[in-house]
Amino acid sequence: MLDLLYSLTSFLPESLQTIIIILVKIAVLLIPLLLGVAYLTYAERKIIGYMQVRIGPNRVGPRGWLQPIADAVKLMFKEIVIPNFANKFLFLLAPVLSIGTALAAWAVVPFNAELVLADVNAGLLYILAMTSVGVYGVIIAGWASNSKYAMLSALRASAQIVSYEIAMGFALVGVLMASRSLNLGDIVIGQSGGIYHWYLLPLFPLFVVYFISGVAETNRAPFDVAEGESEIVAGFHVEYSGMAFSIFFLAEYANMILISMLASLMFLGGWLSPFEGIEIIQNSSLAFIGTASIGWLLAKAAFLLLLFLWFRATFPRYRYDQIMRLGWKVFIPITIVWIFVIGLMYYWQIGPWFTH
Amino acid sequence: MTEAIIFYLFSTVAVVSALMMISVRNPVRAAFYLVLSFFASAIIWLLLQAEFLAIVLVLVYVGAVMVLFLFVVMMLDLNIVEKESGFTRYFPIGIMLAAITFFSIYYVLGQKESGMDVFQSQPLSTAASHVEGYSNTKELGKLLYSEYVYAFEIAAMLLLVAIVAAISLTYRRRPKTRHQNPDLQVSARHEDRIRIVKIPVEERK
Amino acid sequence: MLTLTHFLVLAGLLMSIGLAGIFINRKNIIILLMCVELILLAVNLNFIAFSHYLGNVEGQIFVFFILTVAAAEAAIGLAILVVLFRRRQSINVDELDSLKG
Repeated sequence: MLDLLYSLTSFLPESLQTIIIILVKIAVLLIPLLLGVAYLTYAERKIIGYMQVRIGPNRVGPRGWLQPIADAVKLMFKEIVIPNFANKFLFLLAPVLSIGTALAAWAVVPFNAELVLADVNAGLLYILAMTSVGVYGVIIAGWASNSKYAMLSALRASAQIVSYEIAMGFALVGVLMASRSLNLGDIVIGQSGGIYHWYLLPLFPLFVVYFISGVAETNRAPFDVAEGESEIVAGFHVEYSGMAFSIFFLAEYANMILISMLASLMFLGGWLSPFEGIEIIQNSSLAFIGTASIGWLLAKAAFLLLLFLWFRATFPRYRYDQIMRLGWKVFIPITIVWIFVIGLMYYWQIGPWFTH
Repeated sequence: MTEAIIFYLFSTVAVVSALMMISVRNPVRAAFYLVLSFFASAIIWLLLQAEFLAIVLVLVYVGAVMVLFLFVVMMLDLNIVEKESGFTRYFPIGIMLAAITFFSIYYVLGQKESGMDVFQSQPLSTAASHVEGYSNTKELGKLLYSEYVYAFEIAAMLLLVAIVAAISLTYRRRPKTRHQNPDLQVSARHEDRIRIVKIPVEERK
Repeated sequence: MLTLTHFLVLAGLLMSIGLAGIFINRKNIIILLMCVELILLAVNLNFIAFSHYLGNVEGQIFVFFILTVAAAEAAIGLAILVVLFRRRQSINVDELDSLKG
C-alpha cells in the first residue's frame, strides 16, 4: 500500500513526496474518524432511544441509517450568523481551534504495533498538551460571541476542563510509572501476556478516575453544566449556527472517541486479545480471537463509548460545585494515594506488573 | 534549509505577537497574543531538541497559566478606556530603553573581546545528533531525580505554598449564603421531620 | 544555516519587547505580569539554546525550575490582583498609593 504510493509519487522531489505521503496518511486516519463521529451521533440517539423505550431516528434511509448524512447536509446549508459587535476573527477561529486540537491528538494514537502516524517518544505528554490547548476553543468562543450566556458557560466549562485535567494528568502519571514509557505503543506492549497483565487490575482506581475525568473533560452528561439548557441556554456555542456549530459538535465527539481509545490503550491492553496465551483457544479453530488485532482495540473503545452514552441516559446533571468538589477533593487525592501505592508495589515487586 | 524556514517563520510569529501584546488596548487580546507568542516559542524549543520542555511549555503555560490570566481578566470588570492615558507619554522612553537593551545585547554577541563571535561561525546542528534510543525526557528525569533532587523537592514545596497562598488570599466567607450540609441531610430521619399526632376521635353529635 | 547567535538574538529581542511593555503599559498590572512572563520566556530560550549548543542537559533543568517558579508567581500575583480589585475596584497602578488596605 505504502510502496504503491511511493512509486506513484516517485517523479516528485523527495521533500514534496514526503509531504504528500504524510498528507495521505492523515487523510486515511481522519476519514474513518469523521465517519465514526457521524455514526456515533446516530448511535447515541438510537441507543438512548432504546434505553428510554423509544425507537429513535428511523425515517431517513433503511432504519434511519442515513440520518447523520441528512443532518450534515442540513447543517452545511444553514447560514452562519455572526452576532453584532462580536470579534469576527476570533469568533470563527474558536471552532477551528477546538476541532484542530481534537484531531491533532490522534497523530500519536497507535492502532497496532506498526500502525501509527507519528511514533514519538513523549506521546502521552503530547496528548495532554493537546487537550489542554483545546480549552482555548471554548474560552475564545465564549468571549468572542459577545453574549452573557456564552461567557458564563465558557468560564464554567474552562474551569471544569482545567480542574479535571489535573486528575487526568495524575492518572496518566500512574500509567507511565507502571509502563516506564511515555510512548503509547510501548505502553500497550508492556501489557502483553493475557488479561491479567493489563493495567486495569493494578491501576483500577486510576482507570475509574481517568474515565470519569474524561467524561468531565468532554463536557458530557452528567457533567454538562457548561451547556445546561435549563440554565444557560446551550453553553458557549449559543451564538453559533450552521457549520460553525457542527464543528464544535464534531470536536466533542472526536474527543469522546479519543478518550475511549486512550483508556483502552492504557488500561485495557489496546489491540491485545484478552484470551492471549490460553492454550485451548490457540489450538482450536478459534485461534483468531486469541491473537492481537485492531478489532480488539475498536471493540474496547466501542464498549467505553457505550458507557458514555449510558451515563448520559442514566444520571441527572451534577450541580457545579459538586463537580468541582468531585474533581479536587475526591479524584486528585485518590490519584496521589495510588501513585504512592504503585511505588510500594514496585518496592515489593508485586504481580506480573511490577517485576522489572 | 527546512530548519531555517521554521526558525524564521516562528520567530517572526513570536516577535510580532509579543509586539502586539504590549500595544493592544484590550487585556484579553493581549493575553491571546501572549499565548500565540508562547506557542511559537514552543516550536522553536522543539527545533532545539528540547521536546519535553516544549510540550511542558504548552501544557503549563498555554494550558494553565494563561487560562488563569484570561479568567482574571474576564472576571474583573475592567475599564478598558483608562489604558489610553499615559500610553503615548511613556511610549518614547519605553522604546528607547528597549532599543538600548537590544542593541547592547546585539553588540556583545558580535564582539571579538567577549568571545561570543565564535557562535556565529559554527552551525548549530539541528539534525538528530544523538544515539538511537535517546530520550530527552529520560535524560532530564535522570538528572532531576539524582543530582537536583533537593532543588526538585524545594520546587514542589514552593508550588504547595503557592496553592495555599492563592487560596487563602482569595477565599472569602460569605455569611449570608446558605450552605448545604449533606451530612445532616443524609442522617435526617423521619422522626425529625414528621410528627404523628394521635387525635382522639370525636363522637358525632 | 542556523547558529547559536540566531537564537540569542531572538531571545534578546523578546526580552527587550517585554521590557518596553513594562514601560509602555505602566498602569495595568495584568499586562505588567504578562510582560514579566515574556521576559522569563526569553531567558528560558537562552538556557535551552545554550544547553543544545553545549550538549548539556543541565540548562534544561534550569528551565524546568524557572517554569515552576514562574507558574507559582503568576498564581500568587493574580490572587493578589483579585483581592486588590475587590478592595479598590481598580487595578490601576497610579491609584494604589496608600499603604492602608
